[in-house]
Amino acid sequence: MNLRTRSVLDQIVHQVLPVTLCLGLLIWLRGSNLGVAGLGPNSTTVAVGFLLIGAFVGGKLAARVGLPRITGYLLVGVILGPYGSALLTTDMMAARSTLDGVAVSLIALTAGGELKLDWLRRQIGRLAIITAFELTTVMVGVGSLVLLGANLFPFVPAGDWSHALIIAFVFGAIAVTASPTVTIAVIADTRSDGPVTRTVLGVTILKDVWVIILFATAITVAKNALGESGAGNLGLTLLREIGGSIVVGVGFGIGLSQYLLRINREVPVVLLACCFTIAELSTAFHLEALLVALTAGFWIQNFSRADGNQLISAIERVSLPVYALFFAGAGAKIDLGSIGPILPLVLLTVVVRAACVFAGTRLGMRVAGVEPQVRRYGWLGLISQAGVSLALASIVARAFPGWGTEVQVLIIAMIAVHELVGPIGFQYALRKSGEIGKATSPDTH
Amino acid sequence: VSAAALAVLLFVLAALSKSRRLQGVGATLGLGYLVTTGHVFLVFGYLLGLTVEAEDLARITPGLTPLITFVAGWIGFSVGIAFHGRVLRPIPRRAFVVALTPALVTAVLVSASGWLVMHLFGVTWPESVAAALVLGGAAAASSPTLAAAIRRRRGGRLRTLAPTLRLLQFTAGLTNAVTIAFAAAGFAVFAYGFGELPPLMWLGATIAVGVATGVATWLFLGGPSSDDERLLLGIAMIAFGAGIGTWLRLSPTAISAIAGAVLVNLPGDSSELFRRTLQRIERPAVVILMTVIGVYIAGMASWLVLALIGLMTVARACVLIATARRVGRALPLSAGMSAEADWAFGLIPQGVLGLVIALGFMRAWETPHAMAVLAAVALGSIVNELAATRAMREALGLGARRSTTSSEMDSGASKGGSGGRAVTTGDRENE
Repeated sequence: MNLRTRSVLDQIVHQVLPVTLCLGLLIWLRGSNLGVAGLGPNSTTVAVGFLLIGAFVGGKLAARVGLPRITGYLLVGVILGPYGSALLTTDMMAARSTLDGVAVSLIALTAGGELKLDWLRRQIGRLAIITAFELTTVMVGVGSLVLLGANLFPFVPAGDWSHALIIAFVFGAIAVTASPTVTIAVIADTRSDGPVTRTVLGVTILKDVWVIILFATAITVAKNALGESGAGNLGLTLLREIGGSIVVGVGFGIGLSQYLLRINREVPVVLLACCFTIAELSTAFHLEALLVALTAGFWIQNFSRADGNQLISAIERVSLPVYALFFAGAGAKIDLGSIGPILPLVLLTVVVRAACVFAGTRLGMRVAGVEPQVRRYGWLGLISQAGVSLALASIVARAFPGWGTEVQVLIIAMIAVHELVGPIGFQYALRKSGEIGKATSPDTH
Repeated sequence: VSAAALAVLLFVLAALSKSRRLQGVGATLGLGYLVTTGHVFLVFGYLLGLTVEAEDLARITPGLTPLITFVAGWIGFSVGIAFHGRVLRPIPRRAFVVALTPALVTAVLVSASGWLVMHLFGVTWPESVAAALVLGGAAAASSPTLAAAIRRRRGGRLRTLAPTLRLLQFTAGLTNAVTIAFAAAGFAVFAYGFGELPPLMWLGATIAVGVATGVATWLFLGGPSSDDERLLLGIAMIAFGAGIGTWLRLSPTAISAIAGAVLVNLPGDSSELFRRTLQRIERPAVVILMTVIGVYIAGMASWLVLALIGLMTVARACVLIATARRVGRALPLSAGMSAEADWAFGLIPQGVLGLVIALGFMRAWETPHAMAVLAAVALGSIVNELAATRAMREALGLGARRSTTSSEMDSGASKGGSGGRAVTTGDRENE
């Protein structure tokens, strides 16, 4: 038996066969009408289990063909989810939101812990310049596309320039967003470290804060200009979310660092409890869980005597299942079918946004004087979009029920593309810049 | 009790724990051991539960269901994976009889008494039978943690006790099989209550799903995978198997235990690596479980609960000790095990398996009676664990100066685990 045949046989026995067995069980379960019949939280665990089985196989296959594992997880989610094969229904996924909240908090805690103040102090000027250039270029570029190509976008009123300008402003503000979770997950998965890794992570996080301010401004201006009620309130609320998240994050950071310093037992358990609390508090008080956890991680790493690496190490022990669950779940929310009718428009917007990201980042990096490989590949790490954009789009839909809903549809379609393409681009950048596998384990620090 | 009062209470407790005199009292009572077993988190959850409003609990509960189901599955899996034929085969049959008889008799008698108590309190069929079986299963469980901790710390110095401690660890592991069997039966009766299939069919479904999950895990593990991938796969398979259990209203713990037992007995050594990888989440799983149970049973007080606590503590201990003594005397052992020095007292610690089964039952049935069963098993287990430390010390002749302190128990925790690994003669632990 030659090597190739053996490898194919191995795959059949160790992947196809068990997946078929599990698939058969799930299909039997759904068809049997026994038990809770797929309704409510009692059916979520089996959905999560099958999603993770799919992620295990999907991640391996993606890695084999040189794609990021995250792309594999996302695709598995798309295939198994309610909009794909509908093997896992919306009902079955209902109780996943708590797990999502915990996952986002864990991912953000790692990101905060990875941001070293020394490095930030040295690089903050550069990061600010790159962020400013990228942000402005994307906002102006994508906004101009909406404004100048008004007849292509069904939600832009023909001939009403002031109205069109406001919609372009809001749309541009959302187009600016990137996905810190995708960035962190790709870095963790590929164990990368180096100038490209750190610059992309720094810019993504800095942008995450600025985007919320920019969006708050855009939505306030839009509401005022269009005579909608509650204009000031919404802007203030969004700004309060940032301030509140940072304050609460510092609180968690102090609490966790004191725990690490004084008690330092059951660290993984306390971390899980903390992330659960962050997720629940953020939902209850309309804070951004990502920002809360990020601030907490940053505080522990940079402002406390506690060993931040110990924290990262505790999270990294369970990071793969967390990422797999989070991204496969995110994939299950992607409705590729909705892209069909507006595919040309989606592709046009995606291409223009990518061109703007490229131009803005390159320009910013040239002005900031960063290393050549960062200048060459850094922009590829800023393509992905996910949760933040989705949240902002739903705010627009709620605030402007007419055109806002149509904007939301287009944004969701764009996110679907960016979510799938973004990790591939970033991993390519990391590979080309030779930073994959360069990260040292926190334990060895 | 408000959240602020809880915070103050925890602060006071933390401050008091620094006092040397109180540390001495804690060591005498074996409180450090409660940290090792996770029962201290049960108390913490209880206090936390007093601060949570009913509406808030109802809002949070659905989100916790997947987590609870997974933890139930994980504990079942770690129990099942300990039933390794290669390790069990050389052990003489007589040892099995000595180990299993007390658990079986206790399970049957506590089940029967439990049914009677519930019948007297107006609980009707099939709930009364299902609950009684779950109660009996929980009563049969014994934890090996205490024996493992003593053996690990003092095995060298107390050579004469080593055979007894070895028997205790073996027995505690084996009794899990009785617990699992009773739980599977209890859940099958419960599922039958919905009129879909007869109980025997549900029992068959439990076994079939468990076997299928075990075989699928084994097939997956045959391929090359990293440590992280094995962890992902482990979580996936446990969630899948346990999830099917919850879907069918069967015991997620029983299904996972069967899956674990199937996996470990199939050819290859991948299950050992798998077991080691899964240990990474052992402590979080136990702590989450204990805290959640504590929250659920907060404020539970009724005559039914009190009567069931009596069964789970006094009646359970009496039956266990009486049967174990008699069987131990009647059947002399070999294979490095001995039923001497009042070994029966070592069976009193209850562990977490009974708790997780009662929790699963409560989550499935969601009636006040199911809640009463959970409260009785949980509160009874605290009494049992506390009594166990003292009873073991007396029975094994360990003096007060050499009492089981918290530091000893902590160091023994990693070896004692949640109970599954003790289905050995203990030789593997010495390696």
